[in-house]
Amino acid sequence: MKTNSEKIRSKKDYRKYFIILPIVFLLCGYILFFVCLTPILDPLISVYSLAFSNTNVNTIDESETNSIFDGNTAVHDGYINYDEFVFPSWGDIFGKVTVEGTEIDCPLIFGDDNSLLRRGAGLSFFSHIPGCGKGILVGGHNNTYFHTLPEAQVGSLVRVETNYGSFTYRIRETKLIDMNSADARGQYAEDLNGDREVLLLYTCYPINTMASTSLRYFVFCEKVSGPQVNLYE
Amino acid sequence: MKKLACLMVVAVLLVVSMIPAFAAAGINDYEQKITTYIKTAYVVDGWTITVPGEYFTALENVWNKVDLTEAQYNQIKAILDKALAFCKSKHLVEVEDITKTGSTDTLLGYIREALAVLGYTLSTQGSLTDADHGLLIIADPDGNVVARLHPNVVKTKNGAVAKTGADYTAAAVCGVSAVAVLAAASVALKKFRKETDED
Repeated sequence: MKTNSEKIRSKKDYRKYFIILPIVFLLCGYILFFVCLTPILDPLISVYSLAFSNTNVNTIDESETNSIFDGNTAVHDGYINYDEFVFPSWGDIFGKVTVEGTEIDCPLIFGDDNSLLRRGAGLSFFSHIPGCGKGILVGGHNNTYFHTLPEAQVGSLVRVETNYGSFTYRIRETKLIDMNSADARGQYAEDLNGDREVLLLYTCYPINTMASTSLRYFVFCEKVSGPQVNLYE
Repeated sequence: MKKLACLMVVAVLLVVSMIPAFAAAGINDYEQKITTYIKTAYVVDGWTITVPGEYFTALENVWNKVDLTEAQYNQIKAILDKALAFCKSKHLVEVEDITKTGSTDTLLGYIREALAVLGYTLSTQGSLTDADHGLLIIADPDGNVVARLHPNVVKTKNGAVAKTGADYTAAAVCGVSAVAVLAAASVALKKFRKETDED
């Protein structure tokens, strides 16, 4: 014969084992499946959209980008005034980047938020466009567009084609910077904000990591050729 | 002085720097005046508080898309004056001071007011204290997004460098979830067996 306290305990156990724990397991399991399957399902959903959607194919992956770049301008030198070209707007594809000795050959986008970095290399809003004689900061994802950036050698050429001119840079040095370190900004700020045209390419490191990392692999490049741009009226 | 970036100046700079394009334009006199104001106006205890050079680069990028008129300049200047007075009254010197003094909403209000001069709007997504996922979103008069900025741009330590790794830590979340499920299951099973044995 069960006492009252045993009955109460039995009732609590019933709640715990048959209601609360299954709900907890269900939620944890759901999160687990969601996280595991998202990378697999996303491409499938994209393929489904491509196959069955009425949307124009060309707009599916480019919904937030607008291209103002239509190939090589063949303008390798000279002087370009602000009113002689279209200054890119946020999200515009305005050029492309190729790095000698790597597989990097990707669109150059004005802006570098997460959605834009899925579509190419992003030029930071906090840096200048090529040709201004100042620092240019371009980032790309380590697992896509800038996957082979560490293969770039000092002395190799980097070509940046834009909607207003063709620029060539030579790699001066490479550097691994821990963005959590106290002097992180000091290691690139002079090149970014100085009065010399320096192209800074960077990506997350280690190159194959899927997890968040504070390390950035930087490639510093000096200008070799390209037109000068005046932005002042 | 470390972390001299005053949040107000940064915030207003951010706002103004998000003003999108009306027409292709160079940097005119009014735009240069705004830049100079932001560089030099905020003086606290004899120190001029300013922001890193990349913020002024951002401002120049904006001025190349906007043709600021004298009337717009005067309106924005008046808002900057109010924001500056607010920052001085709160003695905001470091970035952390903004949250400590509960000034975030007020500063965002000034930003919205400055943007409204040109018909633009500011909205936020997520927590602005979350540097990786929080967002400041600027939209043009037609509602088109012209910039999405992660709030880590106000951190002087990392400056303009973005996160270029995986979009989320799938492996880590997956691992933690798996461990949580297994741990909970083993504890529950152990206890259940013990109680069954006792019965």
